[in-house]
Amino acid sequence: MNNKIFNIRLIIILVGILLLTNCEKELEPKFYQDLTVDNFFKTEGDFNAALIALYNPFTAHWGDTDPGDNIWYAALYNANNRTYLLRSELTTDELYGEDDANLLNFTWGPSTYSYDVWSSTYAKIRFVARATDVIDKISKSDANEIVKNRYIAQAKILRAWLMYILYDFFGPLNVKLDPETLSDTEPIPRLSDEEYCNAIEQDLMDVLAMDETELPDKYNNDANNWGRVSRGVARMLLLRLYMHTKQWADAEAAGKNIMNMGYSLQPKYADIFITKANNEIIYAVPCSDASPNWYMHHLFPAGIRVGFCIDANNDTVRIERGAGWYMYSMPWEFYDKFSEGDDRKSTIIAKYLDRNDDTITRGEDFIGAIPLKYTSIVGPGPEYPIDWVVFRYAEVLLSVAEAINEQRGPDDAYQYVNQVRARAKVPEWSGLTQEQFRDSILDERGRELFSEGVRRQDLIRHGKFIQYAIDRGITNAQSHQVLFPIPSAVIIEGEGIIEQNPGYVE
Amino acid sequence: MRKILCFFIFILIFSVPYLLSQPLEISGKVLDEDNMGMPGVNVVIKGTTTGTATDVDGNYRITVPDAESILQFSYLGYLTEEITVGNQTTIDISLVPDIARLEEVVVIGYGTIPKSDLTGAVSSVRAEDLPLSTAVSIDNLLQGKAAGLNLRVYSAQPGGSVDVNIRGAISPNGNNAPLYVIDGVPLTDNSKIEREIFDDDLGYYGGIERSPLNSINPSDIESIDILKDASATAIYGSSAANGVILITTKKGTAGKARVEYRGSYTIQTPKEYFDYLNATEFMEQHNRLSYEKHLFDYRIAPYGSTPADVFTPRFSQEEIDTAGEGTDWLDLLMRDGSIQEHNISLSGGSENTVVFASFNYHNNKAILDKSDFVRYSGRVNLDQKVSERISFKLNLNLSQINSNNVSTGSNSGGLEKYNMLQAAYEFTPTVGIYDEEGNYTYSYDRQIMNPAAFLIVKDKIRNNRIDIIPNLEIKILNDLRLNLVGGLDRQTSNRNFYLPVKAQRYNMPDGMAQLSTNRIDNLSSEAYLTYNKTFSNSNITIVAGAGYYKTQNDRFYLVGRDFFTDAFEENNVQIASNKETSRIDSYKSERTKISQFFRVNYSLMDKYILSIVGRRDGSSIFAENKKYGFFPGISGAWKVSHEDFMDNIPFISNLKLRAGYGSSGNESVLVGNSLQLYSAGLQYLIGPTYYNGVTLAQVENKDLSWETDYTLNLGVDLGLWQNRFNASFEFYNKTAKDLLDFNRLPRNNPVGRVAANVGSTRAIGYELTVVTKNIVGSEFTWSTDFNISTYKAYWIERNPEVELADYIAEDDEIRAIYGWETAGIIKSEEDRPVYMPNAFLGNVIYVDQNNDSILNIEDVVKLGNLDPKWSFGLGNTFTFKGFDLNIYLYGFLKRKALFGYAPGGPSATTGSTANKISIANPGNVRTTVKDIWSTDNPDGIYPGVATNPYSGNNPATNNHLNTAFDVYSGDYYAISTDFYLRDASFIRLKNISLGYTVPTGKFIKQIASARLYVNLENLAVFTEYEGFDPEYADINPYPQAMSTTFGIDVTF
Repeated sequence: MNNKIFNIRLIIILVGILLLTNCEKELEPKFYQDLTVDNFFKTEGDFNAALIALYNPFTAHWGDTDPGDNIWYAALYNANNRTYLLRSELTTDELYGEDDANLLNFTWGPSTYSYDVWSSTYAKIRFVARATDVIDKISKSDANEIVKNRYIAQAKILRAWLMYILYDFFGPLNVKLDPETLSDTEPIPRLSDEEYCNAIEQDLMDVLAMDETELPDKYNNDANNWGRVSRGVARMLLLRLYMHTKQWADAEAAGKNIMNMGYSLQPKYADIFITKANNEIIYAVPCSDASPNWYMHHLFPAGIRVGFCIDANNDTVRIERGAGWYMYSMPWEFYDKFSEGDDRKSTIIAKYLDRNDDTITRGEDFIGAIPLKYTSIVGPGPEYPIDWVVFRYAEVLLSVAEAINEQRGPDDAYQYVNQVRARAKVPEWSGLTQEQFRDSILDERGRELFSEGVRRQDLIRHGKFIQYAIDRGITNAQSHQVLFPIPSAVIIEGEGIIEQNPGYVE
Repeated sequence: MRKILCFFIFILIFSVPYLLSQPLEISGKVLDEDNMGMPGVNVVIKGTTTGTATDVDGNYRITVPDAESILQFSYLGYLTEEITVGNQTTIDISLVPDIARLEEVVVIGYGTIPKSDLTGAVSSVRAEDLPLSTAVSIDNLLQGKAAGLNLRVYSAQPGGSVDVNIRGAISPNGNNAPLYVIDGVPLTDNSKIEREIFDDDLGYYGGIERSPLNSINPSDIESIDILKDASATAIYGSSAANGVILITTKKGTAGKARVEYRGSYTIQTPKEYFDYLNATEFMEQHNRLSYEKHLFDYRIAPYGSTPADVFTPRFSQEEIDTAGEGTDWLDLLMRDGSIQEHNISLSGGSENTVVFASFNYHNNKAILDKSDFVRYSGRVNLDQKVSERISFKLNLNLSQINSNNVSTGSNSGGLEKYNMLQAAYEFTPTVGIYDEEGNYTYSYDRQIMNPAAFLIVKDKIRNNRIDIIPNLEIKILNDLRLNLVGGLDRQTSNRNFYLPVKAQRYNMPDGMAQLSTNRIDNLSSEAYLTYNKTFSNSNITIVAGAGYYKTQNDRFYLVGRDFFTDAFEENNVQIASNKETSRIDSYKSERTKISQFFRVNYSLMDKYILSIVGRRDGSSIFAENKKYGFFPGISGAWKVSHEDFMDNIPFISNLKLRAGYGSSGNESVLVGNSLQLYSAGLQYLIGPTYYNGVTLAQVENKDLSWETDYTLNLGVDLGLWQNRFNASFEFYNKTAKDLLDFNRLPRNNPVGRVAANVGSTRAIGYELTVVTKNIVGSEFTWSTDFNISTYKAYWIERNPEVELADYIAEDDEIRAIYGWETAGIIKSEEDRPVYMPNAFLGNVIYVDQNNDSILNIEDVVKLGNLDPKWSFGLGNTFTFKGFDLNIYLYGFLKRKALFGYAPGGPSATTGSTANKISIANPGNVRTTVKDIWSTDNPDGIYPGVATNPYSGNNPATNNHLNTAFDVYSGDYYAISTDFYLRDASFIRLKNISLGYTVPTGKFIKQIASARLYVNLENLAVFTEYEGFDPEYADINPYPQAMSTTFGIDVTF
């Protein structure tokens, strides 16, 4: 019997121990990978980390899995055919690529690029909301005003830029600009064109009102901060917006403001893409071995050993190279828009030696020129630590010239466009009608800014985007395709509140 | 082979002295429970086929080889008795009636129960019922073995895992895998241990989908019990919604030590894979379709009105004529495989100590070159009686798995990230392996790595697992027992990867090394009391206890880039010269659970049985407002055949009705989902610094809860003619509530989704299991096992937050497929429907369901269901004298799947077969390309080169929103039309095994029994499906092999 009592005690103790461990502390969740609201947005390091995430979509590296929905999206300035950059080129006369047959043939619809990586550009709408969150969280933090403004300024420029890119592809969207609505789950309608553009403008005006300590003019001479958006970028975005919306006077003013910031043309065209942070560049996506540029490798044919570019002096620039992927090429029709002696051809490979040292010129297998642009590459690739140029001074000059011509004819505009032509070592313009000037400057922009992702906007602004496609043989191209469709998934989720772009099947 | 030979010689020499012993003659009488002589009882010398039967009075007479011989007395419906002859010459024996299979004991969690007293839905599989197989893990053996257990092989790679669900996968976002309990210890974290390759640049993170159960030697297993309904699983609470699979390993038996050796050698031969074009065909098809593409690109007739111009085909007739077969890349990567297996076990002990120990060696050279899998595992199961009241058990399992891997399966990118199989599909057959300089050749698209170069990639994994389960049992009172059970299960995996410079990887020409380690610990301690008391006409068993569980996972990896030499491989990563692209990464997670549980079983007059179970779980992964969950279950049974009125129906030997209802939880959906979190990962370069960005990644939901499954189960067990015919029928209604859904937040929000409990799904199903002994003769027997099940898994309640597309009905099947119906392709102008005026020749014709002349969302219809309607298994066993033959097949009936696993199959956006072969950088495609429509192939049945201007209006394209992740295809299939949808029903002839039990007792006294066998595995698949194997869940699955095994099983 004693034995029994002993045993009963034993159980009580043992089971008791187990039951007692039932305390809240043991069940506290443990996180080793993530930050919570309690330990974030406290220091300047936190602000910078939050801001870096807003810069991320602009990278020239491939892209990233978005932690917000666990889907991988291509970056805006990568050279893949799903990106903002390449879709702005592959749909035009400047670049040909056949991997995405729907893009090539203008047979896309609301569902074609609806999900996943295919909706990479549309998905950047999330970063507008993130920018709103970051602006709100930083402004509510305890840090000093100048520090706060330094980060808010960048966040606002990035938000405006993202909004402009979305506007370019999709028209005005239902972006979230009010921090109070960020976690609402009800769909909201798209903004009107005016509201949307005003919002972009407002962000840029806000930051332009800040002083130099909060928003520097440029970072060209600040190697540690090269890659941050500056006052120059803010003005450049204003210029693009005004050009896009054909507000010519505002565009002229915005452009002339940039002219007073000390930017200048590089003496030699090829150098723009060789010298890092040179004085012509207003913004370039920084690239390094860690975050490389893949564009060039997309261009080279498999058989290439040495490529030749012809510069203004009819000298040939030799580029020794290994094989690339030959995904895109510049149609010879476009290459022929350059006149003899145009120095800009020094960045385009039109002839190459293959591995057997046979010379390959335009023809069957060499279906288009190689718009290399970045001629300083060495080594076999495939990735390069060469910055990707996005905004530069020559565009400012050409845009100002175009804006002036639209307002009052070409007379006052020659001085700007001819700076660019002179640098390219082609004859200066004079004596054109307004109409002739308009058509000429479209071609000039094509020659100057090819491979920089502006061709689609330029053609649309000039009303030539669809016509050019039809002229290329894509007879099914239709006028509503100047905008890409809102992904059909968004329309379905939108419960009738989010409208599709006109012309697309709902 | 040499090892086996040595072993036999050893045995032979060892046995010689025993060959010369004296035979003895034995006689006796066999009596029944009423002490009447029993006629027709089989008396056999154990391990031989030598035997006799009793005469009408129950007398027998038999000659045995020696005093060590064991006599076996068996009679249907009675327990088999074994008696060692010893000095006796007369052996009389009484046989006790066997309540035959009814008295089988079933493991139900924290205890066992006689099968006849079961109230819930439990399937039991004995070790001897499992097929002989080359499989490394137990889960691979269970296909078709238990009704309601749905398994699909993920891929045929050695040690490959199985996609398992019990009674239908009804958690659209959660894990649908059951809980495994090994020797009483639940494996909270049963995820695979192999760390994935860091794939940002490579892409082939997949391909190693190994079963976590590989570390357990199937030969060590005594039984597998599967708890299917919540009235049974509730005892495992919040982790048991998907059912529980209890695995019990063998224990030793007291008496003379028995040593068993089983060895086998298997030859694996590759089965047919996809057919790809050879070099001649490749050139012909490229010329044909690139010409067609040229017509389309310039809108030359029939695609437009541009005047025709000159087109020069890429390949001249001369080149085509001399091209020949070219390189068959797939063939190059395949080889005949082999499996060597040796298994040796020891069982024995004294009255107080029994032990079972085993060692297993399994070596598989698999059919893809350079993929090898070797397992060493050892087990000691010790039972020690310490005193009258205290006994101690210790189960110890150690294993090591070494493997060399090749990349197969899915990848995370396009062709720039192809794995070995994908590269082999698409690499041009027109070039050889090496160029003149001895370097690997390139395909037209240089992003594809040479398939042969994959063979010099090093990818080694070493897994170690130690599993220790101590169990202290204290008999406190005669009716009351305390068990203290611990569990220490530690798995580690080391992966070494090296991509040589010589492989010429397009984006990493200078090589890459990866080293990683991964560790998973499952720690548990449980204490429970068992009270069992039998009263005059009733019996009560009460189990109550508590448990504490902790699971930890930590990982580490590093990536080194750019090596000037391949000489060091991954052993000297510090020479990696590109520090900027090198990476280090670590990860850690931990969770804790505290539980209390109980069960009461009450049996009255052995007719009426009631069982009540419950468990309360608290877990660190539960959200703030839902820290504890309680999961109860109740069930009852009525043994109708024990009622007096049933005595009049003698042919019914068993009739039992069962009913149960209960709940259990699916906690897999919770990990980390309930909190607001900021995550790192979005980087950007500013100046020289590659900064890490941090962004809001998840929004908070304090009320987030596990999913709860409520199951109603009704069952009937029927035994006829002394249980020669046994059948069980089950009906269940399993409803999942509080489903975890990632509420898709509007795209314009900072975070794309939030986890919430919304909606409800249900599976309703029927299961039938029939076990029969068709012929029971003294020389010939035939028995059959058959099970079949069907279920429908569908939505009960949708997420109100998500706008449901109009084409989806509220209560559609969970894995319903939607899209446009199609009506062939446009082969001529007459075929063009009026509502597709812009369509081109060669385009697919979509059906305008509502005749409104616009193809849009209103034309989307339900196309089918990815779940199979029926799944079944059928085994037949025949014995004739010493021979035994087993034929086993299983299948899925009535299910749909896409035709085409390979790249170049259907795709809504790019990469259609026609595009792939016709572009300037063509890739190889399947031979089905010959049936692509073109102007010179007007009878082609597959769409041509022209893109379809209407496909972009099909909102079902890529619809992740309403089609859940498909466990049956392993991917979100971009099913948007029925054009490539096929019936994927199949019946697989899994096994035919033929064995012969050698009558060794006569010759070699030391050998108690010996059996030789031949086993043919994976003989045939009967299906109308045109693609690759319709069962496999992986994309680009590891190819199938047919296995022929020769084996021997000897007991000493």
